[in-house]
Amino acid sequence: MWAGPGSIDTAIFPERLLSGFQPTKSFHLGHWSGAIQPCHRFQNLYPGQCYLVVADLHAMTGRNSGESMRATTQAAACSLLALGIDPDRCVIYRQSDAPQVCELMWILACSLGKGHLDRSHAYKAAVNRGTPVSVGLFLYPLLQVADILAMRSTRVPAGPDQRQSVELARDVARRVNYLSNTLVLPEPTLASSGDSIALSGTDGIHKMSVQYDNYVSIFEDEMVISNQINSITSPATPIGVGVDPKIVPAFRLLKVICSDDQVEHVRSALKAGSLGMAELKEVLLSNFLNRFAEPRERYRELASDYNLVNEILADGAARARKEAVDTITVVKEVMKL
Amino acid sequence: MDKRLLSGVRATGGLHLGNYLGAIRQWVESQDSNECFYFIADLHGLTDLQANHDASAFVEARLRTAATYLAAGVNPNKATLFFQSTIPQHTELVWYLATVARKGELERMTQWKDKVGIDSAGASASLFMYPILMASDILLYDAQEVPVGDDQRQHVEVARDWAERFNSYFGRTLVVPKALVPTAAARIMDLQGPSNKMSKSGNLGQGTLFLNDSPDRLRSKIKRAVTDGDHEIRRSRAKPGITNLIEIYGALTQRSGADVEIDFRGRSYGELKDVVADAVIETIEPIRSRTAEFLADRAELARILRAGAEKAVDVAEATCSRVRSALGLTTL
Repeated sequence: MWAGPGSIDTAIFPERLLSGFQPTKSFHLGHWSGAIQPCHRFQNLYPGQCYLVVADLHAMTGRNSGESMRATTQAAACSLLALGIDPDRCVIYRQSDAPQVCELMWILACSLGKGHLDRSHAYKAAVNRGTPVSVGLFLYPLLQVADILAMRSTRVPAGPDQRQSVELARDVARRVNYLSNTLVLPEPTLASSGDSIALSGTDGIHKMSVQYDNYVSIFEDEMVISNQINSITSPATPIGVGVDPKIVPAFRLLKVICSDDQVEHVRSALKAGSLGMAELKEVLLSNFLNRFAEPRERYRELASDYNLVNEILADGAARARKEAVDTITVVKEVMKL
Repeated sequence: MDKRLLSGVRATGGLHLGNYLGAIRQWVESQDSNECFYFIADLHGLTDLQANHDASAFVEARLRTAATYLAAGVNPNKATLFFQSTIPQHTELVWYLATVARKGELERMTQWKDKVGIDSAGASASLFMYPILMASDILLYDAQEVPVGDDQRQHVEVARDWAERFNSYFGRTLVVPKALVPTAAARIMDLQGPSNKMSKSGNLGQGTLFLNDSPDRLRSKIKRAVTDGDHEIRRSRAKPGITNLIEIYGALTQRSGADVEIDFRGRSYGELKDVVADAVIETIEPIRSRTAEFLADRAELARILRAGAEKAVDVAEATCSRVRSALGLTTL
């Protein structure tokens, strides 16, 4: 009954993807390329097995008012729907609607040495920044593990900073399985190497993220987006001289939204020196607005239609909660609780 | 019903006279004049077990603990008795509190420092989080008062700090509790090593009066209790064994040590031990036989605990839902 490293016994656990999103009004191109597109592929391949969680419990580790939490959670749900996540083939839910993850987290914490958490990257980064660390931040990876295991996910799209949590989830799943001698939980794997490559931001250095303020947002006003695109760093190149497209951050962003033909066209123009950096940004802006015109329109509709979004979230909550309850029941049974 | 009172006991098994006089008896006394929530802290018990989790022993210890408390007089019609693990809100509130608690606060807890010594990496994450679960236990039931031993006072203090911090961030949501340290609780010591507290594991149980020991066993343990070379029945730092027997007798008969000394003036250690044994057996034997009755009717025991859980979950959910809405974990 043992699943070998990296293999999933699909007879027991169907392929299932879990992707987490912070509650935010600023969905950006990084979300699109790193998380939304993999979900698109997955919802086509395995309808009903794509779980998207708006991680409001995790977001509590940054201090938000109740009002802002409600608004950003709603905005994240609207963003997912506007970007083509299909509620008929995906489960979209708020993390706090399946509070069983907290229960699972406690039980998992009983079989996990504290040292595992001391070694977490996110925690160490916070310590290095000198910020006072809340226990919540310290437990952040363990709650991620609980999310992954509660939904019995087999695949998790993860950037470099979340890989550690997936590894920890595998480790913890093995411990629980060892206790029962039957396969209770799947060992999740990274969704696929291609998806985990993080898109770099407008500064050309860090991964695109709200935290670094280096993002190109999808749903904000055109003016805002235009400013964000104009702020993209460019290599200093004399006009009319060719440049290696690989070192042009704006080109990397263009590749995410344009067709192969368009990309090739721009690539050769950059090499030939016939396309300047300012012009490249204009091309990027118009393609960006064009590419996301429909989602932006749809977002505006959804943002004013609370009932529809709440209905979808309520439906997702019921399905996610069922999974979580099933998992916690089995785990508690193993622990004889 | 003037006050809401909350108290828990770990489900580790091996309850003894020290537990009875230190906690169980208080529970029974408090239930008449307070609204009491009493729980078996089985989630706390888990922190000890980890990979060597002996599931059947755990189940047994948990049930025996509940049965013993009922046998000792906890009345399910007056107090709410339940297993902590049946109320998922305990762990949900743990997360909410974890986001306001600071890691340093947990590292400074005396019990954590004592338990892990210098090898903190080897200890489980749940042991580290233990004070947050404890705070959650308290705050979930809007308890105004929490009766605790002196060693637990720090836990109530951090619970207060976190409740106040939460309220200051998110508006008045949680009731800030007060620690209630019982006045002059008897300190019951080990019969074989009377400088240590009576415990479930000390001196291979030879110095411990367990609540499920037979009368013969209790008497023989008391007969063999260490004393000293002189023949005076009086309390003294130099006479820890005799002092302990006097304290036990005083606590059982609700009389002061001085009164007991007067009664026993001029009598022998043997006579003292006989009288103490009689009093101990008179208290423990009814508890032992009723515990056996409760354990023989598991269906009834389960019914009592389920009824308790149903009452507890209503209160716990009301608190959690207040907290969720303060945090914005609700739809627009």
